[in-house]
This record gives sequence, C-alpha cells and structure tokens, in this order.
Amino acid sequence: MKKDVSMYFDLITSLKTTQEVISFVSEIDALALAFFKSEKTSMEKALTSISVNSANKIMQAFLKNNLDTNNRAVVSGFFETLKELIKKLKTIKLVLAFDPTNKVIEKIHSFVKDILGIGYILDIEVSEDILGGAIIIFNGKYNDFTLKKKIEDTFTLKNKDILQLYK
Amino acid sequence: MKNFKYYLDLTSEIGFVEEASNAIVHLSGLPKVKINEIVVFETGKIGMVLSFTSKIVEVLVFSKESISHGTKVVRTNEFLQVPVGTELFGRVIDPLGNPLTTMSSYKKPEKLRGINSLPPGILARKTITRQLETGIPAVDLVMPLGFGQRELVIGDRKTGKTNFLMQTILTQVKQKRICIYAAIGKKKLDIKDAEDFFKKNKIFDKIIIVATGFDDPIGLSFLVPFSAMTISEYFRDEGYDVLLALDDLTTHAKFYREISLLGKKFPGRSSYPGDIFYTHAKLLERAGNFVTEKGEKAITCLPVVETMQGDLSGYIQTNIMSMTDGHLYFDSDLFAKGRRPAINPFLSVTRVGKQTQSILKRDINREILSFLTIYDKMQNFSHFGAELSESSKVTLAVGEKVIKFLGQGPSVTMPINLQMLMFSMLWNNILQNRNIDPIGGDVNKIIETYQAKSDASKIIDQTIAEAKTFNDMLKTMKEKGEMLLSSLKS
Repeated sequence: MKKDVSMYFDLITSLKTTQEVISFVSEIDALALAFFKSEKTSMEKALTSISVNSANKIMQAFLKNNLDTNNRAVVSGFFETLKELIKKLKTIKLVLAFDPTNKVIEKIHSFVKDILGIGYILDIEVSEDILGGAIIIFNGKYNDFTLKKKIEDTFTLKNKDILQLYK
Repeated sequence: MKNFKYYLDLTSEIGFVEEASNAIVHLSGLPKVKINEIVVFETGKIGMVLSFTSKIVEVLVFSKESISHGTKVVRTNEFLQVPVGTELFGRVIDPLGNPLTTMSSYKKPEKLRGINSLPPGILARKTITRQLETGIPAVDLVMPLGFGQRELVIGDRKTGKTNFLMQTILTQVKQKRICIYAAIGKKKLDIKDAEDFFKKNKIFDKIIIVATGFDDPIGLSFLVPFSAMTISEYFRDEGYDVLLALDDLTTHAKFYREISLLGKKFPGRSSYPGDIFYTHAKLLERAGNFVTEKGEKAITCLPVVETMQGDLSGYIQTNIMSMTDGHLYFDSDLFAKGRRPAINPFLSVTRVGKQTQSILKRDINREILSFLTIYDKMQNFSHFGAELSESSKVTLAVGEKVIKFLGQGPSVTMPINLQMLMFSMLWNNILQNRNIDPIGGDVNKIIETYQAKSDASKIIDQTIAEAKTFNDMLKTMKEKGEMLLSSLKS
C-alpha cells in the first residue's frame, strides 16, 4: 500500500542541516521510548521528554492530519515512516570559510529548495583554509569555488607575470 | 601515480568511505567510476574498483592499514599498471613493482603495462612444436613439456613441487630464457629460500620474483599472478620465450574467496565465488605459444595447485586441470618411499608435450612408460608374497635401476641429450644382461664434464642427432657406449 507522505511535509522541510537531522532523529527515538514505555503514558506526557520546538512540530503534524495519538499502532507507524523518509534525504556538502548563522543557513537552504525542490539537507563544514567562497559536493561531484583555488590557479597561470612584478 | 589533490582537480568527483572491512571498502559518490579503475584515498593509499551499483562502489584496497569511515576518495581515470623492464631482473618485487626486500640501486622501471589485458585470440596462437627442457629425466623423457604449454603442477604439500619449479627455472635460465617466479601469499622464509636457491646457483640476477607474504594485504596477493603474467607478456613482446611459475593458485583462490565473501558476493561451492573459474581461466589463457612481430614466442606457464591427502577431485584442482594442457602429479606415497621427484607417471598427463618430441625421444618415452607399467603391476603382484618367477625378479631388478635413473637430487639438472644417452646406455646394458650400473654414483661429475667439455658434448649431441630411432641408439651404444661414457667420466 502506498503511504501518504504529505502529512510529513512540514516536519521534513523544517530540517535544513545534517546536525538538525541527527538531533531530530534522536528526539524521535527518545519520544518513542517514553511513549511506548508504558501503555498508560499519554502523548502529551511523552512529548515533555523532548525539546519544546520539536514537540510542537510533532504535535502539529498529528493534529493537522487528524491522527489519533491514543492509537499506538498509528503513532508507531507515523514514527517509522518519518524515520524512513529522513533516511532518504539527500545531502549537499558545503565547505565554507566561516561559521554560518542560522539566517545564512536558512537562506542557502531556501535557495536549494527553489532550485532542486524538497528532500535536501546541508552538511556544512567550516575550513578557514579555503579563505573564501565554497566547496560544493553533491552526488559525488566536487566543485571548488573557493578563493584559495582562484589564487592558486592565478599563480599557476600567471606565474611569470607575477614574478615580473617583483623584479 | 600523482596525489589525491591532482586527481580531484582532474576528475572533479569525490567519494566517501561508507563501510570498510579488511581489504574491501564500500564508497558513496564517484558517479562516473569504471570497473578496474584505480582510486586514491586522501591518506595516499590506493585501491581498485571491483564493482559498483548506483549507490555504492566496491573497492579492493592494496594496503594493510584500516581505512576509517568518511575518508575521501577520488577516481583517477587510470587502470592498474605494472612497471615492466629489464630493471626487474634480480629483484624480489610486490605486484605493483615495489621492492619487497631492501635492494640497493633499485629503480622502478618507467615503462608501464596494463595488468588486465585480454588473452590473445586463436589467430595469434601457434601449435606447440618446441620441447621445453626441465633438466629432469622423469619429465623430459616421460612427461615432456612444450614451449607455451600450461602444465599444472599438483600434489600434497611438501612433495617437492616448488623444488621441481626451481630445477626447471634453473635449466631454462641456463638456456637464456626469461624466468619469472610468482610466490603468492608465501611465508617470508619460503620466499627467502627461493631467493637463496637462485643465488646459490648464480642465476638470481637473471630471474624476476613477484611475491607477497602471507601477512601482506590480500588485495596485493590477489594481484600477484596477474602482475607476473603482465611482466611475462612484456618480455614475450620483446622477443623472448618466457617461463612463468605460479606458486600457488590454491592460495590465490583462497584469497579471492576472502575478498568475495567480504564483498558480500554469493558463495558457491566450498564458499568460492561463482567467478573463480573465470578469474583463473582469464589468467591462464594469457599463456601459450604466440605469433608475435618478433617471431614465434611462448609464455610457458606452470601453475601449482595443492591437494589435500592426494584428493585430485577438489573444486579448484579440477577447475585448473580443465584449463591446463596436462598435469604433473606429485605423489606423497612416492615421496615417502624416497622417490625424487615424486612424479607419478600414471596419474600425470601431458596433452601437447609429446607432439614436440622427435622419433627417438618418442621411442624412449614409449619404452620407459610401457616398462614402468609392467614394473608397477609386478610390484603390486609381489606384495601378495607369492613366489616370483625368474623373469619377474629380473623385471623388478631392472625396474629399480630405471627408477634410480629417473631419480634426481634437488639442485641437479641434466641436459636432455645426456638424459637420452644415459638411458640408452642403461637399457643397452640391461639388454646385454650386463649387471653394470652405467652411470655410477657420480652423476654430478658427468653433468659437469658434459657442460664444461665442448668436444665431449659435441660428440654426444652428434650421436643423438644421427640416431633416428631408439634401436639406432641402442646399436650405437653397443658399439661406442663405453667410449662415450669414459670420455664423460674422465
């Protein structure tokens, strides 16, 4: 039977980086553990075991899709499908020369969403060695748009001219 | 080989290690990777692509150190190549051309040759017509081999297989042929022993040893026979006849089984992968007698296979038997009885060797084989403890002499003409009912004299050339056998 994945749309699109994904998945595990620990535990009580932000997002997803939080089979299925979909997210690795703020990450992610659509997350690595610009690694393709590379290429191509300047 | 950064700039593709288990590493990324392509890890290690799916690339690594998850990898757009050239003579190298032992003044050859070339087709091949001399009467006279023949050397461990290879290499090097010894996953001590044997016989600077130890990376051990075959092909194309000894393919099969099981390939019979036959056949098909630009040149291949308690029906054993042009069976029972070499002529086969023989050699071959058959039957009969007739006693006594003639010390090699002369003398004495041992105890001295005294050897060679059949030879022996022998003993 084909699963209706639209109910996970908001949750999935809210994830922007690999770090967010890792912490969100661990929160789902913690929530599931708290909820299924005892049959008497309600969803509201279990949600207190994770961050408020994540708890709100998950609760909203339940309410929006009219899911019965008391039905343990429904809740279990919801979590399993959510984790499966998260596993399918594709990673775009970015190497930047600076530590990006949340605003910058949001901007980059929305740019990716506009170009490629949903289902992509950013794996950001900070390396001051590249001086500026970025390295983008996606689907095994490596693209170096760094200042370091530009300078190196310039030195290789115009080595003689540069040395001439110092004569 | 350039560094990681060079290939990253060149291909603009990158992969990451997702899973590593011993010699096999699974990668993500590298969308345009090809089978057998070389990949370079950011740590400087190299590997070869074995297979890939849309998500995962399977790589065989050529180093022992473990590779951690997340390590970056680049593809090179290059295929595995081995350095080839005369610089390799007198060297013990690994399959990538690196020295295995500390060697002064070793410079890796600059010429490179692809390791995975396809075997030449039928039009490039020629019928085997030239006999390959091993220097061992039990082979040259009884189970002859030809140039370009692939003859399996099979038997239990410690039955003298490697020793046979050493003797054959020794004979061939003396005849100015290129000899390559491939030691696959051997003990370091065994490799050293082989090296010492060649050094002791002063031929080390004329041969090439491609080897890996049993504790070397399995990826490297897997490459040994392919690398040795590539070097052989180079020398063949340079206009030389090459002798290649692969010691041994059972170990190679075990390494390939390990690689395949780690690579999660479906195990088949005895847990070997389904393509083990293909792997070995692809290798052995590269040997043969070829028509090259420089004339008829051959790669004679002697693969070794080990049996367990004389069982010839094992999977790898029967596979390689079906790929080769015969086999020499080293019998552990004969070895225990003191026969050296312990080749069992009744269980050995040479499919193309006999076609290389002259009429005289074929006559001798027939004579020995038919006599050995009678002798063997007689021996079995004598086991019953029955009273033997006079003729049976004679057969057994003559048989002992023939067996003694076919026996040989570990580093003794006898030129084929001398073998024929000796056998003819022995047979002549037997026919004339003379109870004399024509050779005596000092075989080494006779061989030395034959090799040193060109006038004596010339006369013997001429005598052999003049004799058309074995009967002619016996006649000659009757007339001047004693004279020829005394010229060698003096």
